[in-house]
Amino acid sequence: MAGYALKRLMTEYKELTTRPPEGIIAAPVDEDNFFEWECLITGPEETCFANGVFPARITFPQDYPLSPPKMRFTCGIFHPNIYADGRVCISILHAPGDDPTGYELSNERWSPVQSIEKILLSVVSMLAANGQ
Amino acid sequence: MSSVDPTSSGATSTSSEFRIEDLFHQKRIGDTTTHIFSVIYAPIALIVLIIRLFIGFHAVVVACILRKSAALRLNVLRIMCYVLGIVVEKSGERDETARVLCANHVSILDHLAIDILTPCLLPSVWDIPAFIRWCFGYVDLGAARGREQLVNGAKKLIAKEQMPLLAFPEGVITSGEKALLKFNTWSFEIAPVVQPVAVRVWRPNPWKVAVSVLGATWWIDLFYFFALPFTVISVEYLPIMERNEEESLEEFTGRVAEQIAGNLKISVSKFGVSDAAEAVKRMKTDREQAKRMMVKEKSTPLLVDARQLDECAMRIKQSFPTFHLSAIRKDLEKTRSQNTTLANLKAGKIANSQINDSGKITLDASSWRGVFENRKWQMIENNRQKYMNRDA
Repeated sequence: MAGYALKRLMTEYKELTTRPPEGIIAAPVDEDNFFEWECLITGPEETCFANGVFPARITFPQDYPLSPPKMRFTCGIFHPNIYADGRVCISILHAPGDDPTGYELSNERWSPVQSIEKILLSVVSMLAANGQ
Repeated sequence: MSSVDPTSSGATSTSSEFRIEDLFHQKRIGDTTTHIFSVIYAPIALIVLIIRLFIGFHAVVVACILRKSAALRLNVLRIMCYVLGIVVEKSGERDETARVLCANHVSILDHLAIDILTPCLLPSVWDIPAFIRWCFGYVDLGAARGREQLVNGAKKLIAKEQMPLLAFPEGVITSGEKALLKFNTWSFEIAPVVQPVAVRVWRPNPWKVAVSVLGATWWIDLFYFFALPFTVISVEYLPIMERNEEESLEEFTGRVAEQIAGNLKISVSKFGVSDAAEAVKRMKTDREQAKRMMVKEKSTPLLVDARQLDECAMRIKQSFPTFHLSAIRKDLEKTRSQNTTLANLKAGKIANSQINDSGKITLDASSWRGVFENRKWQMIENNRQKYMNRDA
């Protein structure tokens, strides 16, 4: 199980390193532990987050990609979808089974075809949507 | 005595080797033996202090009830001062023809010491609470409203009262061991005849604690007076001096200063009250800086985890915006100390160049971490740059 997760994370790491999306970088915190990543997100232009670089931690479960990872900003950031302790509340990080809010569409939720890049892009759009 | 200029100019040249700080005690306790002794003495000092605080309160009450010039007051106050550890010695003769006494200033209780020997008027030019001023019978001559007011008020006062006026033309407390501050001329304008007074203060040997230090507050000085066994204030009345017809006010002031300084076997410096105030300010800022440095020194070994190093790099970047963040961060990685890196930056040991992001990424996963680090600092650097230019 963990072997598959590791393989998958390795692939994503390679993808993110060779073809980095604009304004997003991510890497495992250290080479020995691939289940804890650090990432940096640039605040979207034209929002109050513009020109800010926001560090976050992503923690992967052992059965990744079946279960979604958890994301947490390590800096102070003020946003309706981010808790005071930095935890991010976004539908892509919620497994289809449990629905804490009851209004998230199943196609927005976590599925094994999603990736770290997609999570981070969703977070950027989340910042853009409420940060005007 | 008639040749004034050579003496005063001579004094200026000899005092030029002093710094203003030399005129004051810097530390209460100078040598280690006194230091060790004072630690042993501390518990006794506390008891003595508490007892004396009560007696001191009574002394203040007595000083309030018995008004000036009563013989009873003098004797009672003198005995009370003995109990409080303030021993006043007198030498020389007070000459009644002089209506103004001019003394050098060595402790906060100089006024009290002279007042016990000769009841006198104390113009309140010192920074003391109004209540204490009233208790000890100080008079407010309106020094705050300017010199003109002060001199006129003093002239009127000595015409009305029998007692002489006591002035400390130095303005601030000095050690009285190196040199006198330049005298203020106001007290010499009041009357043509003045009596100079030389005041010395000393403490018995194992308690060689400075009576007053640069920038000390009056209540700390008072604490030492009460806590230590005794302090001797010796007051010496010098022969009266009269201002000559052709003599200017400055010359006369200088002459009196020389007379007191000569008696104390010290010189007159060229520094005034404002220089002393500057010195106090300078000393305070120096101390604060030293304290801040101490705090920094203590926090340096803590730079161990990556997060602290990041924060430190950002701090340094704020002061040195021309250096690339990743360069600062790399150096911090090596030095693990903010101060060492700062020194390296200043010495130009850190290359102030952009890192070469070659764009080629090898398939070796172990090099990707470095790529991430580079991109991270590049990203922060770019966003910082954009943020700085956002309004431009």
